[in-house]
Amino acid sequence: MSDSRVFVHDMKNVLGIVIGYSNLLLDELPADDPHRADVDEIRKAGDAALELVDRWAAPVPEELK
Amino acid sequence: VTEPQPVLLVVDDDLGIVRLIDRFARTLGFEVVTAACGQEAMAKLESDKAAVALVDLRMPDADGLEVLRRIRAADPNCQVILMTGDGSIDTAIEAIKLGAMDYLGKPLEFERLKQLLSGARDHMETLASLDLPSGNQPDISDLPLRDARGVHTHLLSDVERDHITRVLRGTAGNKKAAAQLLGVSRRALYRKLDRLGLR
Repeated sequence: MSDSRVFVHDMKNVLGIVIGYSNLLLDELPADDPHRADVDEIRKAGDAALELVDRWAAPVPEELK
Repeated sequence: VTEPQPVLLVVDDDLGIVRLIDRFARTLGFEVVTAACGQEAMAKLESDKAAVALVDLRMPDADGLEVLRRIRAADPNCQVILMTGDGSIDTAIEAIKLGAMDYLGKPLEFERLKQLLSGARDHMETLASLDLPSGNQPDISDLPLRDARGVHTHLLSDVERDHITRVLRGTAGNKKAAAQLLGVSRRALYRKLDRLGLR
């Protein structure tokens, strides 16, 4: 596997942990917990980072080269 | 007397993922046993009688498909779910053909994992309630989840559809890039999209 694919694989695993724990907390925290909004921000940032990694990893189409 | 909890065997060399799955599966009523490689997985399978195994496709000492094959041969009652960060359609299909219950993308889709684990647990409970003498348990693969060859035929197209949809999302809908990642020609991808009703 090339270095960049290893990087993408490892990065997704790390982000998966950030997103996974955020989701677990959001499932478990009471609806009126004051920390919910903070955890939600962490999850959103994790999702955004994941999207960036996916976009960076996608092969560049011929027409844009 | 409390019912024994079903055992989930998690096979992954990434400790962070293992801990997260452990935390998640315990809330669903599973006892979690972990293994960092294929060899350890087989040893744990023998000592802990897992109901479900969650196996990473890529591990230092073995290919996840090989681990899947070995688990299915050693204990047909143990349902196997594979997980991977990438992978071609062929790998997804091969996994299901080898008897995997399903194939999950990474980062893990926890809602899907929850459905699968709950389904497997209910299935175990149904088996237990049949109160069959020990040693006479029906092979789970005989039950109507699968066809005669042990293949989830209804799932093959679902696996393909999910996998393609996920890859297309990653390429922001660019089909040429998606075909490259999926390891198929662009024409083959279009044919699959037509067949799966995704176009």
